[in-house]
Amino acid sequence: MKKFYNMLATALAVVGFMSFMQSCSYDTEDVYLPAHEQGTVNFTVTNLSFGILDLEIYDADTFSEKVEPGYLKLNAVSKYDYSYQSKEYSFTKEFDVITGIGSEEDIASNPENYVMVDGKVWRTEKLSTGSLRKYFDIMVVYPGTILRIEYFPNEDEEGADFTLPGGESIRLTKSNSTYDYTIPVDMNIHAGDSYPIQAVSSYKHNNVTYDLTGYINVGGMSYGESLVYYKDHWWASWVFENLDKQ
Amino acid sequence: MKRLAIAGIFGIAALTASAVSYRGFFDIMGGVGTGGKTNVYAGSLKVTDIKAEYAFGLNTTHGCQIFPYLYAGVGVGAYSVLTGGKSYDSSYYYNPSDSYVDHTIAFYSINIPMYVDIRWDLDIRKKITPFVDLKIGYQIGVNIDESGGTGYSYNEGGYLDTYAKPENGVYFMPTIGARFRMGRKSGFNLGICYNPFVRKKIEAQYSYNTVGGGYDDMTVQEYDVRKVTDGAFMLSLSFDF
Repeated sequence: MKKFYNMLATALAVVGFMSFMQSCSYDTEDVYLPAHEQGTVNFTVTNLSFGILDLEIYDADTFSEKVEPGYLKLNAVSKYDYSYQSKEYSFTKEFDVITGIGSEEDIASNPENYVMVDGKVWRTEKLSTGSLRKYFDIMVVYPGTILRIEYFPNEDEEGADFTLPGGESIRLTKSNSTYDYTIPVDMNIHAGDSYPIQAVSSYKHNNVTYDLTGYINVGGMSYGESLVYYKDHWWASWVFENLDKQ
Repeated sequence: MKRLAIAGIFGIAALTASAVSYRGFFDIMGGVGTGGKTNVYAGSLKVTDIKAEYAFGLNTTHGCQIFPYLYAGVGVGAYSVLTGGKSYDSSYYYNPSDSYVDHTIAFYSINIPMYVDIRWDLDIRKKITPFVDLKIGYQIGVNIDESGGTGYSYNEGGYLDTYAKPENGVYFMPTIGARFRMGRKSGFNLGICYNPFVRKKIEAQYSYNTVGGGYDDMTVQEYDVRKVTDGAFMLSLSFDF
């Protein structure tokens, strides 16, 4: 009996020692995969053009019946020439845009506006801040995406040139992210003109700062998925869009 | 001398033959996994605390009771060690540093051990007797869930999914416990066992945006993260007959 208990004790000690040694070797290991979405991306848009090919006005509800006034359907083409890491790329895309541009009364009576791009309807909100919407696009890129900021001035600013205040930050929010952009210097923006801008801003995402080179285009047609509020009258939206390397 | 040796061998064989009898076991086991943690990072994406969580299984063993205290047999079984991890989803938050943390548990494999079993009971004729048992063999890991997701991470930068896959290898499981005699040849056994060789491979699928692509056109890459040997500490209940 004593021998057996000695054996049992020895077995217990062996198993215990084995599990203890194994537990000691069970340290936490951190494995880092290559971080592809981080880093600085130099992206310069050298040319951007946007043309309206067709203009029709459609019923707001059905998007199929032509009405007047009401909503616009724009068949548009956009062309981007850009360079990325010393390589030149060009991207051309033709798409349909249906959006709620109408008279002030129309917009006031239809506070919910819709934007349709490539057959997909995205709801936009609070577009009724001006009867004639003027906007600009800030084309910036972080890996894989293009960001557009749409500008909708208040009625009292309607048609006026405006200034992007240097040092001001624009906070962009989407359902899942927040981006803070800083305008480097005061920029006078004239409706209808295009402004190639070097190093428009930098933005911080997940504690990584991206230096951006972008492009401002005023007067182009744009579209968006969600809106951003800034100082009562800054509204922005952003979309993801594929860029085909050529 | 030679004659004496031969006589001895035959004598032991005769004694053994007279004492040998069939004995079978049916075990069920349950417990917890032991082992280290793996944290996988890909840029701003991460899946952390990937580790063995729960273990359960069964064995059936058949062999001979050579002496009242020594048993030898062979057996086969099946067990699984569930692997879990912490998942992070920033998709629902305005602030990208915030995220919904989810505890993911994957039932991804069944390990099938085939083994030789050696067992020592102090005296199986007694009503209660302690025992030690050792199973040594080889185990085959069968992947039953290809997705086998141990964790995920989503944010604007892309997606990170981690998976576990079983690995084949040595099976080694000592058990200690007590046997409670229920009849002339049957008994109930209660023991604790430790399996220190639960091998698995952690893989990751990393989907990310690149310039030239959008969410609909992500670059997807597969990575072998690491091979891990975990353990399983289990309570064993068995019936022998």
